[in-house]
Amino acid sequence: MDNEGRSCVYGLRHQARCLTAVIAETEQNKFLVGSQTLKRDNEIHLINFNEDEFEITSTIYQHLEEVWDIAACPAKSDLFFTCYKTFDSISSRTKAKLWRMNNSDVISEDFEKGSRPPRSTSHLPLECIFEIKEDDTIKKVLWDPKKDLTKFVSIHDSSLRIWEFDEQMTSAKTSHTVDFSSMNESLPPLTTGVWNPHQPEVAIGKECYVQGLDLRSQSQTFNINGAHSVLVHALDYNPNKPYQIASAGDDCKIRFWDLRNTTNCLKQISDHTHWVWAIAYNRFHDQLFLSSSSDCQVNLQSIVSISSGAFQYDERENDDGSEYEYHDQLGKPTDGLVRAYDQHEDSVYAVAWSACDPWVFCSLSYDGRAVINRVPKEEKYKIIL
Amino acid sequence: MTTPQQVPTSPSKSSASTSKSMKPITLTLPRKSRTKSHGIGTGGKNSDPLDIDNSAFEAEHYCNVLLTEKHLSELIQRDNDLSTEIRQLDGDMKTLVYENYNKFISATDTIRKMKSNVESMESEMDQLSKSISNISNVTSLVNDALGPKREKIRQLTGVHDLLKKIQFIFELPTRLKLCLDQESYAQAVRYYAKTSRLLEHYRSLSVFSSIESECKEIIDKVSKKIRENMTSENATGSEITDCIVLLISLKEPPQQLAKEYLDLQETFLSKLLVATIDEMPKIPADYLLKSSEDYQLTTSDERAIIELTYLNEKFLKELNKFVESFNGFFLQPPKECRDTKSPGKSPAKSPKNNDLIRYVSTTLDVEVKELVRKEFLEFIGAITSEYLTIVDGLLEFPNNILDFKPETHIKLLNKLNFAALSCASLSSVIKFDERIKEVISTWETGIGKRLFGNAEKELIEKFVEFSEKQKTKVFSSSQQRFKYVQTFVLDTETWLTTYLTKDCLRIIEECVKTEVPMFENKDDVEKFLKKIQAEFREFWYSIINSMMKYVSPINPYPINPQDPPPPITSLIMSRMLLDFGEIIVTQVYTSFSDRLYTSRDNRNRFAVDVYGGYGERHAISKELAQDVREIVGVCKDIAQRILERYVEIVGNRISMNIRGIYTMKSSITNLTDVPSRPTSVSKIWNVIITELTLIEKEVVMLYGTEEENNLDDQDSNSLPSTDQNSTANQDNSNTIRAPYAHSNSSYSSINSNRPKSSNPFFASFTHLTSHIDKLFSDRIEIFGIVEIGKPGIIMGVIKILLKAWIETVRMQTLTNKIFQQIQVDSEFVRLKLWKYIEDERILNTMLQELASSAFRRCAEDPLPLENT
Repeated sequence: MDNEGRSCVYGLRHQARCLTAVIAETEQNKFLVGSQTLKRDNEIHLINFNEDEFEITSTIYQHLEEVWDIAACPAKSDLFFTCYKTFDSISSRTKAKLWRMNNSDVISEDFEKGSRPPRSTSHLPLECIFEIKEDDTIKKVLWDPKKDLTKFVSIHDSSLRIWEFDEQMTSAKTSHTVDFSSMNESLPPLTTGVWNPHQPEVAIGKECYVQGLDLRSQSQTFNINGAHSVLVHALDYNPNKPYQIASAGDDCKIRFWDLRNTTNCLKQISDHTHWVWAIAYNRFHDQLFLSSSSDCQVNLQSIVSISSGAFQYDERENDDGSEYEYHDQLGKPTDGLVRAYDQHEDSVYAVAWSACDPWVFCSLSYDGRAVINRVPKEEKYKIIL
Repeated sequence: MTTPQQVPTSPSKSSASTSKSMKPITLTLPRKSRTKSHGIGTGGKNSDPLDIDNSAFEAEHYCNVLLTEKHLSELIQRDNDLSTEIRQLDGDMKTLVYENYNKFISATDTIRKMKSNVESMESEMDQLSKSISNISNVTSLVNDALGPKREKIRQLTGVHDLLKKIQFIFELPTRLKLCLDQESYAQAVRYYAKTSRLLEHYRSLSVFSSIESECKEIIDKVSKKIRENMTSENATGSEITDCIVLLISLKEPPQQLAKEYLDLQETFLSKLLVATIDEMPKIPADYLLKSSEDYQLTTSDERAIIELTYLNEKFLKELNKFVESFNGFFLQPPKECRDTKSPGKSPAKSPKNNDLIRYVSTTLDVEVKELVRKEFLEFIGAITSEYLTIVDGLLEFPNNILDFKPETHIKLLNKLNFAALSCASLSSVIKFDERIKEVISTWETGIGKRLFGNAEKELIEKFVEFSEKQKTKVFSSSQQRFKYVQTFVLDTETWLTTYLTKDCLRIIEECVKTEVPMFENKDDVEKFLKKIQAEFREFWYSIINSMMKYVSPINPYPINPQDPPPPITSLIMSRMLLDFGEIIVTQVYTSFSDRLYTSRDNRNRFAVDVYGGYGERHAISKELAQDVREIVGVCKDIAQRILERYVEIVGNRISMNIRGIYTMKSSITNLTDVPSRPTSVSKIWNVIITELTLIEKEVVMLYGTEEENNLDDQDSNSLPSTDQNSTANQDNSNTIRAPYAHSNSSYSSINSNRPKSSNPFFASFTHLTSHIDKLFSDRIEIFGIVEIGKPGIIMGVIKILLKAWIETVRMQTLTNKIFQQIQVDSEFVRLKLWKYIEDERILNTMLQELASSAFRRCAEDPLPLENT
């Protein structure tokens, strides 16, 4: 079946802001989505995209509070953190919990029998392992991308904490706190953070600047002042090329930086017409780059010129034979917008590549619509041939 | 009668015999008398036998006629007549004979003498021939005798000559010594050069060898002296050259000579250059007048020309001379080719040495030659570069480019060109002429760069200054500010146009129109114009780029970001670029085309019509038209982009206000003093609207509106009459609280005026309706293309503002109170914004989205306010 150019849509029936791929799951295209409503109970949807059937099945877990962020464990597919918000009449608190989906096997069994509809209607419970309450302003939890399950990092409004799990991963305690609060309280809080896959370093976004923090010494490693003219909203490290980070923000721009020299950006993309909320490098082919924005668009960019694949294409010139001809026909991958996906009708706050298939990605808009798309064949062949 | 008849016979005989050898004797006859006597018969010449004088006279017939016809008396008479006639004739005959007799006598005498003389002649002739043969015999005898002696004499003469030469050789040492003493080394060298081969040839003879050695000794001394001269501090270039010529004639090893020569000239020329540079500023102003150049100096301050002339005369000539001689001595294949080349090319050489120099040359091995050539070229290259550096210094443009007088520079360039032509050797060795051409072309590019670069610099400076002023200057009224900005725009645009069309054009025109040989060639002018054109084009791009850079610098911003220019700068820039695109570029190019192109020759230029922004037609020469179109396009494009940038900056700035106003924390602190139901608009919105009004004013200032005439009046005139608090808000934001009552009333009145929108979004809606609405509303581009013109710009800002509001609300968790506050704010905004907006649909859609977002984010049960 040729599903080229088609996309698969999944409705959540709730507003939603956060999405993550289940990183530890490399057999199936799985994503986790957390809903965000105030008036009803919230849900965590485990979306499973079956490429052969071209359909989505899902498992829904109960999650009482509205989910503001979700982070899947890179090593164990059943573990994830959520950051959630509780409120009473005078104030709201954000906290985080580590969850385990302990009955996922049941679901899959059921599904195999074919007795259940692909979409589960009942809400399965989640097992809460522990909760982080400190500060009440937790924004985001970062796992170590090296799949080392001893540490994690939490980002708060005005601080960053490094935690250590105990041996059974049943609790955690703060090992270090880095305080970013300043005298002026009205300063905007930290907006985002990302863990460098190449070294123990976390990059955080705050206001208009991006800062790097060494996790061992808690010292600053780099500082890109004025990376964006308004707020920095999203960051992502290049998974294949050390020292390269991408940032995006309220000035509608996406910029790429070499951390060894941050006086000038490597490249700038300004294809969005409103704030850019999420960006993601493809984990395998870092020349593919996703961004989503509140202009309701998801853009798939090719950034081959600054990617780790840049050399590859130069070398290919020297190759002989049919491959070369083939390549000639398709043309080399070039920089530029590969495709703009406009299936969303509301702001797209999250986007994620599948951990299993490098050509599959999912985007999530505020109206609760998750859309799974694939890289266009043409571009795919340009890259792999 | 018989005797007289006999007498004449004898002489007649003798005359017949003598007439052959003697001169002819003419016999004279008494013709007169006879004709008289026979006068009767003269008339009839015909053979009338009756005429007595006629030869056909017949006596018998005549007598018969007479006897028959005549009377007796007549006959008697006739007889008498005849007898007298006969007597007369007789007497005549006697006289005649007598007269001619002498002549006969002498003739016979002569004949007799001749007969006797001829007899001795023959013998005399014989004698003569005998004598002559005798003489010839004697002569040959003498000749034979003298032969051997003559041979001897000839030999002796040869020996004499040889002896003379030998004497010269023997005297050579003394002569050389004399020359040495008199320091006429050239003479000495010439002597030696003449004899050295001979001496070498006869070296085997002891006499000669001693002479040779003696000569060598002296010549060594001479050469030492020459060297001394050559290496002396004060030796001039030509002296060195002369010395080298002598040394070459003395057959010194050429490679070493080449090196020595090169070294010496190197020091000499370097010193000369330094000295010349030192002297240059001190040259008297009248230096040129003394020189042969016939340039007329119009002003006294054209020192550069004087200096260059001086430099060329002093230094370049020397350099060229050196190059020529060196090349001739060491590098070129000798003689033949140079013979054909060099005559007349070395006018500066002293005639004394001319012959020597022309024929002196050396032969070096190929490798050595290459080595020498390399060193030589190195030095020449270096020193030429130094020269050109000085020239560049002379060609520097004045700090203020407007003071620049192209005439001077063009004269300088012309001089350079001339110098390049006159330095043929230099040109052939290191392409001096090409380097000069390069200098000229650099100058041509440079003038464009300077002229236009200056404009660009000043323009940007103006902007920077303006921005600074905007930050610091306090305007007493908006009107004053308004005026100030407008004046700035007008002034700047006028300044630029004037600068380009007056000052720049004047200078370029002067360049083109000067009557200097360099620009006589049409191709040269064309080339120059091409360069200027390219620079001009570059200039526009560069202006545009720097404007772009100024308003949105390439990221990241400086580590400690300076204050960015105020947004109005971008607005002004965009406006100006638009003006550039619409009018100014075309205008400027038109005048360039008029002055520089069409005036030259009209026939070959096809003017191309270019239409300006307002439809007017400009005739622009073909070469420029392409540029004009391109630049106009780019200007408009960038104007658009800068405008978008402006909208972005302003939109973001205004949106900043919204951040954080609806958080619970802020709501607690800010709204505690407010009764349970919000009755007034959040303070911040008043601020925002005020800002928006200011922005509108800025935009109107520069982009105008349809009712521009009303601008000078108070803004309130253009506002809806129901809206009374707006003026109060704008003019003093301190009294915001006062008109709240109005606010609500006007809000309701507007609603009742427009029944379509009177169903407030907050009152009754569900998810479903909001979704359906969304389906039918168009997608809104927030930071999209901004339409040029006031409504477009304001709309752009408003869209950014509203979208930011929506996003902010979505990030919050709201209490009922805040929800209601948003409801109030939203209506307030609707009221305030509608007048700016052409397409209300966008406003409605966005506010609706805001309402639905707020509804969802309200943690309590949302209780919308009632309309009343």
